[in-house]
Amino acid sequence: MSFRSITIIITFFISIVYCQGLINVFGLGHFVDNESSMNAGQGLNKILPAYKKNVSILNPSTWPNLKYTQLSMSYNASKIAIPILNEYSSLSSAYWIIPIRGKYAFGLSILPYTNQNIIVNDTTTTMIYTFDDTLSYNRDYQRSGGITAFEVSSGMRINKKINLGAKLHLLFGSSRQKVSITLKGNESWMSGSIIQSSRLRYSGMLMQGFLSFYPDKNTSLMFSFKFPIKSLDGLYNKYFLFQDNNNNGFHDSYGYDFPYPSDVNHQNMIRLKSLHSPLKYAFGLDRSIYNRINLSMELTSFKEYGTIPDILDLGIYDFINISNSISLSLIRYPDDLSINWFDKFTFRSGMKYSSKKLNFSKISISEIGFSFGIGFKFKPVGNQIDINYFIGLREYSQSFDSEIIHQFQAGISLADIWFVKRRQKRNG
Amino acid sequence: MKKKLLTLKVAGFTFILFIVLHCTENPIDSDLSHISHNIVDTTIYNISGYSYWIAPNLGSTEKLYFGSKNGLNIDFNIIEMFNSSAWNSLDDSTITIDSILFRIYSNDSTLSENQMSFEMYFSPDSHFDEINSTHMDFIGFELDALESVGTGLINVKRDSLDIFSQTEISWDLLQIEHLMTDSVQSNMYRTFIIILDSGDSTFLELYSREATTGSKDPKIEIFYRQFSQNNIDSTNVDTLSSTIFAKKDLTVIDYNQVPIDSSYDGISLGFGQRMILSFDFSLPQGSLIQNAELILSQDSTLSINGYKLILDPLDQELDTSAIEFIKDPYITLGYPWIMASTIENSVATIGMKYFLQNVNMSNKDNFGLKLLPAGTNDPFHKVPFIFNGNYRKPRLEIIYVVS
Repeated sequence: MSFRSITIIITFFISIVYCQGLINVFGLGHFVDNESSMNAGQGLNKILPAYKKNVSILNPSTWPNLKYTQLSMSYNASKIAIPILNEYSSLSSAYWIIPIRGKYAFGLSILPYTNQNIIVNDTTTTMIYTFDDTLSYNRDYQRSGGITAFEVSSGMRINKKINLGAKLHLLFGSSRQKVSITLKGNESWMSGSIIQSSRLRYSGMLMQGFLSFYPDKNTSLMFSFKFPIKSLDGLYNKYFLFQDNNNNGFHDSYGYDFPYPSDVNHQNMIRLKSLHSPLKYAFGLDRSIYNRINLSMELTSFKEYGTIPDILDLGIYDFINISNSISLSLIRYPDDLSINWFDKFTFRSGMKYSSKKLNFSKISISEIGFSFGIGFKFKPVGNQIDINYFIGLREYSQSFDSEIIHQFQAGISLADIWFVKRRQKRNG
Repeated sequence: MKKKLLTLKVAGFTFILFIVLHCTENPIDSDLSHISHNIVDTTIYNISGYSYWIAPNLGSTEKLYFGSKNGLNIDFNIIEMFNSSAWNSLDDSTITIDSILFRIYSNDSTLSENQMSFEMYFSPDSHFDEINSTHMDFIGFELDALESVGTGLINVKRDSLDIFSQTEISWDLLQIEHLMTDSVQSNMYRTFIIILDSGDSTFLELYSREATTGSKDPKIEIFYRQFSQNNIDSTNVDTLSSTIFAKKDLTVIDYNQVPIDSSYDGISLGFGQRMILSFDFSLPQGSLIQNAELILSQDSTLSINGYKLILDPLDQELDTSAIEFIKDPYITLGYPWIMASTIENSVATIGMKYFLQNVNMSNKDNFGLKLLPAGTNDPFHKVPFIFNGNYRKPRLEIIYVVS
């Protein structure tokens, strides 16, 4: 690999780390499939078509409808404007889909599954009177990392009315938590920070089944069901508390952090079972209401059967255990046969409402938002560039301020004929 | 080619945008009191201690002592000089020795008025180890078998304003030059023994080699002339001097006559008194000690401000009920586990954070602690601590973080 390629890859990964939002702090973080839009070409739809006519890039049962192999990447940038400004960006998905003879399809994809980046500052100061002195301290919580999903999918056309699909989600990744205690007092030892780091390594496997039913040429009904084959487990490694004498946040010998790293024995890892065990249903109805214009409605329901053990330090000890959403979309597809450049555009718009509930505090989170997207198709094979913008309002029933969410996505899809031997050009 | 270049430029520009625009990271405020990390304080009062006695060593004191004080009688002081190349001048035919002076200093201006008489002896052997030697190593040591140098000349020195600066005691060693000459290059030792020839009630202090960085150390100065032939017709004569400092020195106590004073729990350098402290200690696993201090209190009427203490953890248990030893039988961890403190306002506060943290992490065992005086303390002091009272008894104050 050339130096330039390595530089580009490193630069790319640098650009997708460190990001946060309030919802990241709950449980294992913000589940990406709860995002309003998962892909620039999909708008608000998850299982219903929006990427191309009759094709959802997230639903493998629709992939046999593709004509060409697709390589699609989408990039996401989000901004939480109120109450505290936070902006972040990340790769939202990368798909490689191979349709086979218009009857089967196979695909590989990789995408973030949860976003766990968060920094929480303590709003309370604890004071203790000890040995004729007053010692006060604050806590801080920091978490970074997350879970990534590598997906293996396949789709199959059963007959003209029914398509089936299956997607295997292989979940992996790690997160690093850091709890800091900052001391204040008159004595020399009543200063500095005490830090405890911990690391959680994840592994799990989920299966998602898809059914597409076409009662007539203008209507499609779609259904998906996601369940765990192996619930998400975590290998939890809590490192020893240390006094961060050189204030660099790491337990190192430089600067005489206490205790010295060489004095600390490694602690055993603990397996935390069933941190995430979801059941998710989705149902969608899509109907062509006018020439190349489709109206679609999608319902999703998510329930968490996993739990977060109290051994795990969280910025806010709670997690979302129920989530329901409904979305309505209006999509105008391009005309493949037209030579008018305006007909090469896809227009997507929609609105979404979702409600979530936190497990322990029973706080409800409601979210309403609107999405606008546009895609441009080019070259005969159907390459396309998509952009999508979502604006939403997230409200909590108590404890937390409302948030205004801006989400911008950009994606590019390249199509080609793969695995077909081309004729060699003859000279003369 | 142009197309490829354009693609790379677009890609590069996009990456730069990602880096510049990717993130604004502001902390979120929330109540974190549910997090299990807390700071806890605890005090351990159940600390026991007992004294034991060893033959004392006075090799690290900043003074050389003469006479008797507080029931301790000094036998003699012994000083061994460095084996410097300056000694070679005694055996050099091109050199003429004018004088060899042994000098030792005191801040006592009354030495000459009181007609103190310091007698010196010379030995070409090495007789002691500065850190470990005690009076037991000098049993059978006969001064009569050594070469007498004679009585020291006391010279009170004053500055230009006639203010006392120091008293110097010196001996002219020219008479024993032949004994100090190592003509066969055998790396001979040059050891000097000084005694005070006076009554029992006298007590004097001279500076030891530990007192200063050279100016008031015991030393030998050799004054000589060196001849060198420039050419056939002329000869150069240089008047020169060399200084040789003490390599080690030791005050030897006549300890056999000292009774053990078990009326108090404490320590003393000159009396060889030390203590063993014991306490049970454990904190929740994974705790981090932020501060740990052992506090020993004294009766304010017996307090000695500035007295330096050393606390050294024991490396193993010793099953004995004996309290008198020649050599200290309690083996300790030593550096870097040694803790130190100074008595201030009748209290000694000794930081124990590093040691106790390692005990709690099972890196070290808590077999007890040896409390002993630093070698630079006045050896004639007795330093008692309160162990049995309800008020001001020893305590260990610990503040730790638990998760």
